[in-house]
Parts: sequence; structure tokens; C-alpha cells
Amino acid sequence: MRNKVISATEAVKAIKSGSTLTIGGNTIRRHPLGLVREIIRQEIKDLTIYVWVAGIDVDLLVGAGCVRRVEAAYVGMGPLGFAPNVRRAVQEGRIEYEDFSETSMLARLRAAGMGLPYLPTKVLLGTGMAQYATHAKPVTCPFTGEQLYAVSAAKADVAILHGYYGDVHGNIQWPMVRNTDDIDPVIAKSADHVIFSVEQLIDPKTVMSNPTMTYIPHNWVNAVVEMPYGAHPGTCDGIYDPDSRHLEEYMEAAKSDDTFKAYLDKYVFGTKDDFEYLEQAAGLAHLLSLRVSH
Amino acid sequence: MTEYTLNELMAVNVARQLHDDEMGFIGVGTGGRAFTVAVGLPIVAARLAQLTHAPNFTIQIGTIISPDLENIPKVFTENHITTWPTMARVRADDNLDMFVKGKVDVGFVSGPQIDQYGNINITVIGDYKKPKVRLVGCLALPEHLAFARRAFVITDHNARTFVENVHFVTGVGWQANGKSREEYNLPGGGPVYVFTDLGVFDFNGEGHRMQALTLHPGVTPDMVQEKTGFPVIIPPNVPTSILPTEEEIELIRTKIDPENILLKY
Amino acid sequence: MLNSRILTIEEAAAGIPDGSVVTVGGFGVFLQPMAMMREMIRQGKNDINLLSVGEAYAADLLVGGGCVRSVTLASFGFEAVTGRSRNFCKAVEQGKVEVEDYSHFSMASRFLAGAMGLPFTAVHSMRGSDLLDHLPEGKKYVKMDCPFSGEEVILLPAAKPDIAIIQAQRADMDGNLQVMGPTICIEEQARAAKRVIAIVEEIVPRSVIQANPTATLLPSFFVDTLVVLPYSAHPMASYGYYDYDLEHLYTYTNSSKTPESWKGYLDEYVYAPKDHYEYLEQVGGLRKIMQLRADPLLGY
Repeated sequence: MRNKVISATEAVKAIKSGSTLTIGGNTIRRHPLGLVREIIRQEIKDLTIYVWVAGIDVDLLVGAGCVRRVEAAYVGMGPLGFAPNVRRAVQEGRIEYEDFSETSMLARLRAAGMGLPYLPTKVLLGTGMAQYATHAKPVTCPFTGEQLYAVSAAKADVAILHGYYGDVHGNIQWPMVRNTDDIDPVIAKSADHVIFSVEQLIDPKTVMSNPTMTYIPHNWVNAVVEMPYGAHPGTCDGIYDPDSRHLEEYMEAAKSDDTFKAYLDKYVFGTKDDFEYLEQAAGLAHLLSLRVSH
Repeated sequence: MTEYTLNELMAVNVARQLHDDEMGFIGVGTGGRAFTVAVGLPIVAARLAQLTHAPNFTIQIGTIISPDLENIPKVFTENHITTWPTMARVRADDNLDMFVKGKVDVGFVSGPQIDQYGNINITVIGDYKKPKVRLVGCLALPEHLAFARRAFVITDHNARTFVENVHFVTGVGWQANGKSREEYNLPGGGPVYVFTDLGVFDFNGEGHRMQALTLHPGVTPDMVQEKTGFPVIIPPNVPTSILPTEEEIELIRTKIDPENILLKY
Repeated sequence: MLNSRILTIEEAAAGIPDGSVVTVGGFGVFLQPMAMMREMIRQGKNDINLLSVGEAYAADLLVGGGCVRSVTLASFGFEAVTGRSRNFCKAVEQGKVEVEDYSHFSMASRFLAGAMGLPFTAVHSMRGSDLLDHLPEGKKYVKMDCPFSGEEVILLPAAKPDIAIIQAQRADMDGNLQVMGPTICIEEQARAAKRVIAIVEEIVPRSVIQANPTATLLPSFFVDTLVVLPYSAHPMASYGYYDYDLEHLYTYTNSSKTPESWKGYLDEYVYAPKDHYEYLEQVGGLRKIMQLRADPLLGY
């Protein structure tokens, strides 16, 4: 068992232009945004993204021009409304977008994690998604004869996720108090190469004292990056709330390509790493004020 | 005569249709009115049902199974939702499996476009490939309409929402793309009620088209037709909607939503 | 209700009059109210009389800041960075600070008497020690034959500070104060004082306090003023939250070697930063404080 801790810069080198990428989190919660910012910094392009219920992660990548295609059950900013960059890009025909429902996208990611080429589902019957999806085909059940849809495995080259705590070997733990509305374990299983950013590196003995809190064992993980506030400006449930102040700035900037370019120049291209980004985007006092009680 | 607001009237009408021992699935909402119809109003209806005729009615808000409705958060922001006392917080994938299997008795849904057969669109306005307006996508709306035992639609009544044919079928109602619900063999019951600011509707009209079940006090068939983009079936002598009792209003204002957070907008 | 008495650190420090008799909680590398010491220096406090046990770094800083007239103490050695607390020692050697020495247990016992509302305490400590030679008999101690057993005991006056400044981990809005890790003499110091200023990392909901009742060291009626300030013990450790900053402790002790370097330390870390957050930026900012975070199991 080796030490898998590397820098964000090193970790992101595993993501090639033109490849497929899957991302953990949900709307504005616990996305690996520090890693996303590094992807943008390294000007990786033409990505095909597989996500479930995504948000600012995909909106950032689309706004930065890194994305060719999105396959998702939802991309939006939750309580803040639509994902502005994604919406504009789809309306202007600049990216391809394929819709799936929550269970059918889950089925696609699960199939990948199970080493299967597809899984069947009923939910697409009669829907517009079935009409337009390239990854859904009608099939007849060989046992019951009923009509179903087969959805193909969404197997990404790389998965990036943000975990709460991790050790140097890549064991990722969650806390007692958390928001469970995500499919991060499914996403972690689905891809070939898995990178986790974590809020805090903890001692392997700490992990061993509480093994049922390990939701991703080290043997599923290829790289670990310690990135405190790595989900900023989103929330990391149980650790800090979303940064409403910065999110407001983001939503304003994402209204047009020009203003978003200025946002990226200031906060992503203008910062050499995520600590610099955090100092620019929030500052120490403000970040500490976002913490929620233990 | 008990005095009540429109939101209270709607909440009471929803509550009266909830049965004891059922589980209702409430999703997430954005802010303002969208929050009220998607989240606030269903929570009030659920709690009201619990306190009156359906003490064993319970809800799940996504993966939050049976949150304590005595302790509804004052603010529906992240940490308050994360720390809301509840019986269980399950993994989302397990939760979705049980949804498909039929564990959701009542699915609360809403959407920007609904047609006369109860098909709902939350994906695009206009052409799919190059839409006039790109909406949110799918979320679990398809699941609600395919697998919930009964889906309850809650929305405001206007002709932009109630269209003759949705531009895109995100969730299947009673008839889509020329085939009926039965032909698709969807296991769930589909949309059974639509609760709006004008009345309560079902899909028992001929050919499973939307039909008025009751109209709110002061609402005429003309008013409904004006705000609906397809011919709504309104039976002659259609009854008036259920009016809240004094007890129900008292419960809503003093026990369930004393600080007017859930029904504010 | 305490929540009307949640003050900023500036407001809380402003309420400490010159000439007060003050006790400061903490020991070794733990839990000393360093941000408060810095604020007191910034506000130019004078003639503070410290009733101390072993909170060496806090006392050394306050003395180095020129705020202190007298110190009653047990021991001021620097943990982690070995050596004398130079600012304190020099001030005594130069006659700038009056000093009274007691044994460690004697001070703890004096605070206990104060906490119990008694005028004096009885100890066996210091019998035969030179310490007693330097304390005026009759005023600072009395030798007495126990009226029950006949054995000789030393009576010491109760320690009754005007103000106790207590660094803790967390409290609820009412001021129920929880301390994790070594509590040292914090409880006795606080209960002996007329007024308590508590400085915490965070306010938690009442339910969190209730889930862990044995961690409540001081119920709310013992806490008069509450200040909420993250990393306010820096460079000391706050168990369960963050470890001590060894790098900064070396900076501190090295700078106390000469008056010029000490002035440099005060200028850079006390006078220049306009508030506690600017101080944190000075000592390494986000990168440093994230590094200091405690392991959730180990607490440090």
C-alpha cells in the first residue's frame, strides 16, 4: 500500500483532451471544484462528461470551453436556478447534450461499475429522452417479453470526486452527519482511474479506528489530493456552507461569455493553485465564517 | 366563515387526498413560488394530514426518510437540511431503486409545461437539439410519473404551463406519442390530481384528458378555460373545492408553519 | 441571556481596566487566549496583575507587550520550544515586574479556595522550601498547627482575580462552555474570578452541548462575556480543533532574544495586523491554518 497523495497539478495530468470524465457531487454540493479549476487551468478540451445530478462543476467546465458533450439527469444550480453556461451553450448548439432520468443515468453508471455493457430500464418508455438518446435502445425482455430500454454503460476514463476525509493510502471516510443525496460510490466504481480531492488528510490509524466510515476503500482509488475548501463556492456538507457571496458573483458573471471569461481570468487563470483561488475568491475570514458547527 | 389564503386552500385540498400509512416523496425546489409549490405546500399538506385524518402518513425529501415535522427548519439552506432530525438518510442509489420498485405512494411533482394528458416537460422549450429555452433536464420526474402509485401535480394555472402538447415528454402521463399508459405498461399510477390556484383537476375526462374535479370559490369555467391552452373538460355543476376548517387553519398557522416559511410565496 | 453579551474581541478587551487582577487559563502548549493577549497589547493595557499557574506563552507575551506590573506564578517554562520565557525573565531581572512564586499545587489550591468562596486554603506544599522565605509571613502565608491533628500546615490566601480570561473550544448561545483535552486549572480559575471572559472557536447548537454534557466545564451562569473567534489560541493548540504552530513558536522565542528582535515581533504580529484575521494571514494564512487542523481521532 503506497502513498497516493499528489498535487492537483499532477493529478489532473491523467485527464486527456478528448477523453471521458465523470464527476461526483450534487448541484452545489461536494463537487471537486478545485480539481475542475485545475482542469480549466491546464486547458483540457473536448471532454465528454457523464454525470448524474450535476451543477456548478459542469457549468464551470462548459463555460470554460472544455466540454464537447454532456450526458446527465440534471445540470443546474439547485436553489439558485439554471446552470447559466450550460443553458446558453445548449441553446446556441455549442455542446451536445443527452438527457437521462435519475434512475436511467444511475443504471448507466452502475453498468460501468459492474463491468456490464448495459442495464435495462423501464423509465424511458414513451419519453422524449428515448426518442433522442443514442445510448438507449428498445429491447424485449427474453424472459417476460415486456418492452424495456437498454441503456449503455457510462464508463469514463477518469472519475474526479471530493471526499470529506482521506488517508495517504486513498481510504475515503465520511462523517456521521452528512447529506446522503449523491451517488459518489457508484461514480467512483464506474471509471478506470479515480482521483479524490479531500478536505483533510487524516491518519491511517484514525481510519482503522472507524472502518465503517470508509465509504471508498483505498483499492478503488488512484490518487488523493488534499484540498481544504475544495468544493468552494459550493458546500461540503457538515463542514462548510455554500459561499452565497461568491455564488452570486458567479451567477452574474455566467450570464454572458464575455463576463464569464473575465471571471475565469481573475479566479482560475489568474491563480496558480487552489489556495490562491480561495484567497482571491473568498479570503481567510470569510472562509472561516462559512464553517458549520461540528 | 373561516378566513384562509390561497396557499392554505390548496394545502388543505392536497392533504385531504393523502391516505393514512402512505409515503409521499417531495423533491427539491428553487426559491420563491417554485419552492412553495414543490416543497413548502407538500410539506404543509403532509403534516396536516398527519395531524388530522392520516396520522401514519410520512414523507421522504429525497434521501431524507421521515424527517421530524415537529422540527421543520426555519431556513431551507444547506446545513439546516443536513442537520434536520430524521429517521434515516439513505444512499441515493438505494433510494431510487425502491422508488422504481414501487415504494413511493404519492409523488409530488411540478413543471413548466403540462399537457391535457398529464405529460410533463421539464427539459426543453422548442426543439430538442437547439432549444429556444433549455430547462433543467429530467431529475426524477420521469420516475415520479412512471413508478409512483399516485402522482400529484401542484402548479399555478396559466396558458403557458397548460399546453395542448408538451414540446418534450419528460414524464409520461396518460397518453404519449400515440400510445396509452397501459400500452407502455408503466407500473405506477401516473398523474391523478392537478392542484392549481384555480381548482383541483384529474384525468378522468374522456380519453384520460384533464378534467375539473372541483373549482375554488369564485372561479368560473371561463376563467379556467382562459388560462388553459387546451379545452378543459368542466362538468356542469362542478362542485366547489373543499374549504379549510377552522381547525385546519389553526393547525397551519400555529403549529405547522407559524413563521410562514413554507407557504410564504 | 448571554447572547446579548457575545462581544468582539476588541470589545471584550476594552472592558478590562488597567490595574486589574487577571488570571489567564491554559498550560504548556495548550489552550491559552493568545489572540486576547495580542488585543490587550494593541489596546495598550497597563499595570495588569497576573495570577498565574503555568500559562507561560500567554504571560510571556503580555509581559513582553509591556502590559504587566506583577506576576504571581508557579512556573513559566516554554514547552515544545525548550527554554526560559525570556520576556518574563528579563522583566523580572530588570525590576520591571514584581514577582511572587508559589508551587504549582499551591496556586491551584489558592484558586480552589477562591472558587469555593473561602478566604484561605491549607497546603503541605512549600514546607521547608526557600519559596516561603520570599513571601511575607502573615500576609502571603501563615504557618499553623492543624487544630485537629496538630500537624503543621501552610495557609495561603484564596486567589480571587477580578477577571478570568478563558480559552475554550465551544459554547452554545447561552454560554455553556465546553473544554476538550487537558482542562488544567481552568475551572478553578474561572470560578474564583469575579468575571469571566471566555473565547471559543465556535458557537454550537444547544443539542450539541446536550449530547456531550460531561464536556461542559462551565455552565452559562459562570460565563459573563463570550467571544467567538476561530484559531484564537494560535500559536497554541486547541484540542480537537488544531495543533500548536511549532514554526511560529520558534519565531516567537528567537525574536525574544534581543530587544530589537522583540520589537520586530510585536510590530509584525501584534501592531501591524488590524485584526485577528490579518494576524492569521501573517503567520501563514489559509495554507498554514489548514495544516494545523487536528486529526478527528487524535485531537491534534
